[in-house]
Amino acid sequence: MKETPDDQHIIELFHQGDTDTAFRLLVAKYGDTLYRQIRQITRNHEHTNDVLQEVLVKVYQNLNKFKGDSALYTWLYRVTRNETLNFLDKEKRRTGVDLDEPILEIIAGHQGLDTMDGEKISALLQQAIDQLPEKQAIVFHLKYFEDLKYSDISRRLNTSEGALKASFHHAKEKIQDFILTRLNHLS
Amino acid sequence: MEEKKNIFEYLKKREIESPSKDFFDNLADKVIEESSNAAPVVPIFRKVFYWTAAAAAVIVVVLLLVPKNNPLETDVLAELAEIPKDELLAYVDENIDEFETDLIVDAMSEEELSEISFAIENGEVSQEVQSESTIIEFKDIERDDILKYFESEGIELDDIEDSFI
Repeated sequence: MKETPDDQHIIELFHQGDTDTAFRLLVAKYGDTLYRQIRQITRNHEHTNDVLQEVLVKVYQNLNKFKGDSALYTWLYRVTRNETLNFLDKEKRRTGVDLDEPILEIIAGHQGLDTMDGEKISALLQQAIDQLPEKQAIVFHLKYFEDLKYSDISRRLNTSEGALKASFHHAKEKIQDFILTRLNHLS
Repeated sequence: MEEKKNIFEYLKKREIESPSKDFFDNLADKVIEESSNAAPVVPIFRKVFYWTAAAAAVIVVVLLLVPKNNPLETDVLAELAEIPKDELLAYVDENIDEFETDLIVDAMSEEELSEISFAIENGEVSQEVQSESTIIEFKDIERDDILKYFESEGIELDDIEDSFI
C-alpha cells in the first residue's frame, strides 16, 4: 500500500519546481475529500466536477505562493469553499438539474425536527456551518462528514487531538443551538 | 417546551461516494495540461496599471490617514512611503470600480487578474503583497507618474492640500 505523502513534502516539491509531481500527490491525497466537500453543497456530480476543476486550477497556479501560515488542508478547504459559493451564486437561477438527495435525513422522535424534512434540515445545517469560525467548520466537516479519526485530523491540521475534540464539541453545540433556535421560531 | 435533545441523534447523514482513483488522476492530468498550455502573456501596460492603481490608492489612503484638522506639513509624496502595502492593495480591491476597467483589463493578463482576485478571495492579501510577482512598490512609482495620474483624473494638488486643512 502506498504511503500517504506528507504535506511538507508536497509543498517542498512545489517550491523546488517539481510542480506536476507535487500536484498529482496533492490531488491523490485530498481530491476525494474536496470532491465530497463540494458535492455536499452542489448535490450534482457534473457541477462538482466543474467546481473541483476550478479549485485545482487555482491550487496549481497558486500553491507555489503558499507560505505555510496555516495547514495545507485549511488552505484547500478555504479555496474550495469560496469556489463552491461562487459557483452557487452564478448557478442559482439555473433550474432543471438533477440533484442528489439532501445530505441529511431525519430519524423520527424529536418533536421539533419531526416538523421538518431532509431538505430543510440540510439547508439549516449548511447555514449553521457557515456561522462557525473556519477552524471549527473544518473540524466539524472532517469529523462529522468525513468520519476521520482525531489522530488523522490532528496530522492534517497540525493541531492537538485535545484541541480538536474541544473544537468539535463547540461546533456541535453551536450548530445545535442554531438549529433549535430556528425550530423555535418556526413553531 | 421542547426538551433540548442532542439533535444529532435524530439526524442521519447520507454518504457521498467519491469517484474512482482514475477520475482524480485524470483530473490532475487535465489541470496540468491546461495550465501548462496557457500561453504566458506579457502585458505591455502592466506598469501603467500599477502606477494608476497605486497612485489612485495613495491619494485616498493619504486623505484617510491624515487628520483633517492637521495641515499638510510635508510633501504629499513623502507620505507615500509610509502607507502599508496591505492597505494599498486592500484599497485597490475595495475601490476597483474607481479605476478604468478597460485599462486594467488591457494591462493585466488573465493570470494576473486571477492571481490578485484569488489572493483577496482567500484572505491572502497580506502574503500576496509581499510576493514579487504582484507587489506594488511605492518606491517604484515615479513622481511624474503620480502627477500624470493627477492630471489625467483632473485632480489639482491644491484640492488635495485643501482637504487636509
